[in-house]
Amino acid sequence: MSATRLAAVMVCTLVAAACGDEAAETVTSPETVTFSTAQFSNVIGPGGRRFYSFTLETSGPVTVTLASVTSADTGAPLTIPLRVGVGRPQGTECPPATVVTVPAALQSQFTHLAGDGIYCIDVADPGTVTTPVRFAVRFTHP
Amino acid sequence: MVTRRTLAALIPLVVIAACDKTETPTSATDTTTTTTVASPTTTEEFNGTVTVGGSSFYAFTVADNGTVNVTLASVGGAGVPSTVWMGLGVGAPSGEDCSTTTLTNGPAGASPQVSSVYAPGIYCVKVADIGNLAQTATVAVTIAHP
Repeated sequence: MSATRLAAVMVCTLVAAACGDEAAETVTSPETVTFSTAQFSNVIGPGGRRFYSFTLETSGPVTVTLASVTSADTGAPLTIPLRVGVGRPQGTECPPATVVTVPAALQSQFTHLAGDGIYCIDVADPGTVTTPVRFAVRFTHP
Repeated sequence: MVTRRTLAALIPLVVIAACDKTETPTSATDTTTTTTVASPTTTEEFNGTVTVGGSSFYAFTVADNGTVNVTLASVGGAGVPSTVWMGLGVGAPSGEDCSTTTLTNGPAGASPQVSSVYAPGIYCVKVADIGNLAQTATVAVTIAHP
């Protein structure tokens, strides 16, 4: 190989090696979202309702389960449905944007997709409560 | 004809020139961020009750960054002096309560007892008995916000 050709090859090799940092971009993994689980329990009587406020640090799904409904007097499990919803606090209430009327269950009963900010879980008597009942709602959110 | 000595001198120069990442200086740009503070455009009235040792709260939404004026307009009820001092606060709904970040104690009046600037979001006003009530009180609160 001539000195000129050798020089050309060496220059190209050195330039490629010296400037190689631009080609090797670091691939970053997507941001991890941490989910929190909370529980809201209280007692409502006939026609009653209660709500619980919480903050979403980032947007994502709020998954809600009416985990238990029991007699406030005896503690006996009840199969009556309650109205459970997710909304945003307004005035003295929590008008739900997503709502279901369901009995207690072991698995999640609905999911509400929400942006970041303050939201609330609303639990109300849909007309099935005749004596005070204790409820427990479990919900997961980002 | 290129000699080996010439090559040895040229190669580092070529490499340095090829990798010169010196950016051409650009003129500095001054960026000024102006936050507008909006005046209240909406007025909400909260009429509630406060039990002995208890509290009551009301949630409202601030649409634009601006001034929120909260006035404990009146306190009443059987056996409750209208001049009784109550706790009045502004904060964010949390759990089954209103977690206050601004709190003041005083009697009802015509002028705002709490006035501050808030970013857009959901807030709450809380009225609480600070140990002065012997009977359940009715309260009227006016909230003016953007």
